[in-house]
Amino acid sequence: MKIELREIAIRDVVAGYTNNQEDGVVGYAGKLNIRPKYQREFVYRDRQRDSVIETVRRGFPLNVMYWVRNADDTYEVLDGQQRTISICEYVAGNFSLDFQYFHNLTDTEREQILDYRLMVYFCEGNDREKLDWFKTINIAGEKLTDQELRNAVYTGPWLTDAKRYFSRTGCPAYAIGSDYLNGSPIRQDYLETAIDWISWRTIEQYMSEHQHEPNAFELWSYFQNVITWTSTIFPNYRREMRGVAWGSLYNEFSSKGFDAEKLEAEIQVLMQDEDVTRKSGIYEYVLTRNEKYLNIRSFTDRMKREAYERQEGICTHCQGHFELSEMEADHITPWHAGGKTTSENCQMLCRGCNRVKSGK
Amino acid sequence: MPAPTTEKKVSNKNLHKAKKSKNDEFYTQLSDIEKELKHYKEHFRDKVIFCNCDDPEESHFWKYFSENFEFLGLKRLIATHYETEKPSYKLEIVADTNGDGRINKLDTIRTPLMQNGDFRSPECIEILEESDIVVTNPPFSLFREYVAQLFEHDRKFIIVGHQNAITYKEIFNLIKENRIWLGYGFSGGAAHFINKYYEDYATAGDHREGMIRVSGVNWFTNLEIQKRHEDLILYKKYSQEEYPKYDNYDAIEVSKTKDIPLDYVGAMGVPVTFMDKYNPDQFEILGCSYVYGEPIGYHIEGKGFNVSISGKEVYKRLFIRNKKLS
Repeated sequence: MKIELREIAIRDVVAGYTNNQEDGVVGYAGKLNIRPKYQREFVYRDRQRDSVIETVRRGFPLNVMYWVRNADDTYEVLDGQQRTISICEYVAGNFSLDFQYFHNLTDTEREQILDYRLMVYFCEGNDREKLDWFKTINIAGEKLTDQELRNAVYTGPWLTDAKRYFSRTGCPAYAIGSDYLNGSPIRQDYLETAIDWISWRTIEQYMSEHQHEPNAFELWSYFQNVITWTSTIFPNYRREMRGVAWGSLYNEFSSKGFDAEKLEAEIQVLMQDEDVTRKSGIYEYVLTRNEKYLNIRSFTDRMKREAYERQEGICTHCQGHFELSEMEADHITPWHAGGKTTSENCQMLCRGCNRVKSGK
Repeated sequence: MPAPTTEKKVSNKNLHKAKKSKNDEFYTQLSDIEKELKHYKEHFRDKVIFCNCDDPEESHFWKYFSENFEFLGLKRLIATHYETEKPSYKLEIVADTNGDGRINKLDTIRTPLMQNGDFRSPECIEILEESDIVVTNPPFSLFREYVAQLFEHDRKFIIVGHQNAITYKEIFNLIKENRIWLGYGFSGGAAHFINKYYEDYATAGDHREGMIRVSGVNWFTNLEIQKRHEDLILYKKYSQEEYPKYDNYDAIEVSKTKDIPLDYVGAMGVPVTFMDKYNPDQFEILGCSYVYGEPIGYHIEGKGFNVSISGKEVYKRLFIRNKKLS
């Protein structure tokens, strides 16, 4: 891993500057990827944009920026995107400051801007090293999300295409998935979730394997399938459905047949069951049958004390005598067989017996 | 929070009030002009630019082009000023008249006009004939007439207008024939115009001193731009339940542009705001409901002009067809 601080004159950064939908935003004689196309488009307010130019014109320092060196000798702006775009747009004559365009300044004023030096950290290394390093430096300023950092490492045609679907405000993934996913497309939450699902939780591996593929159609079509499957087997939408790991459920259960009506009837019952303290877990539960998703209400200390006294300290299983602190509460009739979390349904088992019982 | 309809009513009332008090001058902000016109830079080289319907002393269009005269490589810049009842004047930049080595506002020539500077006056028409591209913010109330004149004289233009104009009979035909389209637009679909004369009723977060916020404003142009060649990404699948058919026209209702199904071959009704995403290689515009729905032949004498679903009228719609399917 190599990290190097260099001074780059604005003159060099603005050389070959282009900004369009087709190619994204490029500068530094075409070697610097300032904003890959479809990258989050946080729009700077005019005031923020103007203050960058003000800072440069007065010769004050801007905060340090970070560029990443790619294998093919090009660079990616990791931090400093908006500032770089502000500077390039100004020099390109696309906006004015106090009614003055760059090209209306005197030669001296223009030279001063072009000679202004940006402080840039250049970093190069393998993917793993870059990612670790980004996570470490990612402490000041506008924090990048984990997925934004990964995007800076695994650049390429696959990522560019994936962003069309997953990373813009009002993007297709948001349009079909916003009822089922948390987070925001521009902060890359949708992209992250989709890759997490399709890759069975190995996002970085998936990204590095697909990095050079021409498009991300596989991911997009997978995502559509997940959403379609979800809305087919759970047609009655409830807000608890947002944030469920639908992709993991899809991966495991989409090949099995389910009766949507029967599932809905069961969900209705569980939604009303006050022992189910995690309602969003109901969806996972009805498919996996794993009670841990429901977070079944546990017995209170008062219930435990009552049962302990009733049993006179005797474990109902092994008949040994124990202190309260050595015992655990247990449903006499298990929750899945209709037993409730009430005093009457509570028995105290010694720790050993309880472990054996729940492990059956 | 007032309902959106209230806001609309209020701003309409304001517009009327402003008109009555002869303060119907809405100056487009320089930053909005810059954001739109940067996409047209290559069109301006060696061209004669005409900004009419504007007070050049106040106009930011004049400011933009005079400051950028050399940068854009203009051939000539002309602006006329409008006076209601007296002769007016025009401003012009042609060459480095003051000999300082640069062509800019210091080279402005002011010439009196015989007439009042109305865009319909013979004098102004003469100037129009000499120019290549018209760039301005014409009065919304005269928009049809203004555009008609541009087409009559076969000029290129970039002008500010309200999205309601899309469905004006005359304008809609031009839109349908791909002779006029929308530009890049204002952020959030609303423009803040500079108007000192009356109060802005925009909500606190949107209020700006000395300005009036008008929603549904856009740029109209017939100059080539990249934007109109970008495909809208479609992802919804057609289903009978989600896309009901109209009672009186063989098309499905798509109430949001982003919900246009990717696999429906026939006619679809979409909101007017669809125009912002319109790519003539992807879609064909068939018609439009309301008065000018008539050409597509569903209107029944004595009934409303809108399409309806189960007897309930649907707000103004454009009818489109996906050209890539068939």
